[in-house]
Amino acid sequence: MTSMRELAVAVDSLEPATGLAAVAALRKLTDELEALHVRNARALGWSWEAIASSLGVRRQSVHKKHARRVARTPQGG
Amino acid sequence: MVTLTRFAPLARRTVIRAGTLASEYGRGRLSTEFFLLALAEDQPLSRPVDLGITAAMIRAEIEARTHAPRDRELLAALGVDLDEVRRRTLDATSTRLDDPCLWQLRRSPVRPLRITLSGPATEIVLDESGRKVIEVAQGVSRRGHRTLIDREDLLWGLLADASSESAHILRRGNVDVRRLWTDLQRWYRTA
Repeated sequence: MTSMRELAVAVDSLEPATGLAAVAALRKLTDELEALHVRNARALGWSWEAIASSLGVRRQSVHKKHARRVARTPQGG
Repeated sequence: MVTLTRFAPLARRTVIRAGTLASEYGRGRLSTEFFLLALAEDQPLSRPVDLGITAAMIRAEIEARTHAPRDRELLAALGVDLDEVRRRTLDATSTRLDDPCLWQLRRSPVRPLRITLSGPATEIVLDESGRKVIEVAQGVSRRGHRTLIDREDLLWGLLADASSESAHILRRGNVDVRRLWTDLQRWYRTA
C-alpha cells in the first residue's frame, strides 16, 4: 500500500494514474451521495421533477437512474 | 433465485458490506476475502462459532496483496474525509449506505453463473468463489429448514472451498479450520 504522503504528492503531480484513480473515487462518492439524497427526497415527498431540477439534470435521467432502487421495499431485492 | 430478502438482517448486512469493501479496494469482482472481512468486522458469530481471526488481521492480509491505494486514501489525498462525509450524509438523510432498500443481489437470467450485487455507486459481480459462498450458504440454510440465510451459513460457504483466498487467509492467520468446522456443525444442529 502507498503511504498517505506519497499519495498526496502523486495526486498533485503530473503522473496521471493516481490523479485519475482519485477522480474515479470522487465520482463513486458523488454517486453514493446522490443515491442517498434522492432516496431521502422521495421519502419526503419530492417529485422526480423537483429532484431533477435540484440536480440540474433531466427528469427522465434521474428517474431512470434511481426509480427502481427508491421504489424497492424495505426488505431489499 | 438469489435475492437479499432470503438473508437474515445481519447476513444481509454482511453481503452488502462485503460489496462496499471490495468496491473501496477498487476490485472489479467480489471475492471471498471480503465476505470474511465483513464477517469479522461485525458482531461476533453465534455461539459456539468463533472466527478466531480479527478484522485487522484480515485487512492487513488483503492490503499486503493490494497494490493500488484504496478509495479512502485517494479521497484523503484530495482533502476529502470519506468517513466524515458519510457521517454528515447519514445525519442529513437518515439513510445508511448499507440500507438494504438500496441494494440488490440478482442472478442474470441469461448468464446464470453471473450474480451481481448492486447498490449506491456499486455494481460488482461475484467471482466464482464468491458465488459459491452464496450458493453453499443457501443450500445449508435450506437443508437446515431455515427460512433465512444466517451469517454462519455464509461462513460455511467460505470454508467449503479450501482453495479460496479466504481459506488461505484463515490458514495464514493460524486459525484452526477443523475446530471452526466442528463449531459450525454444532451450531447447525442447534439452529
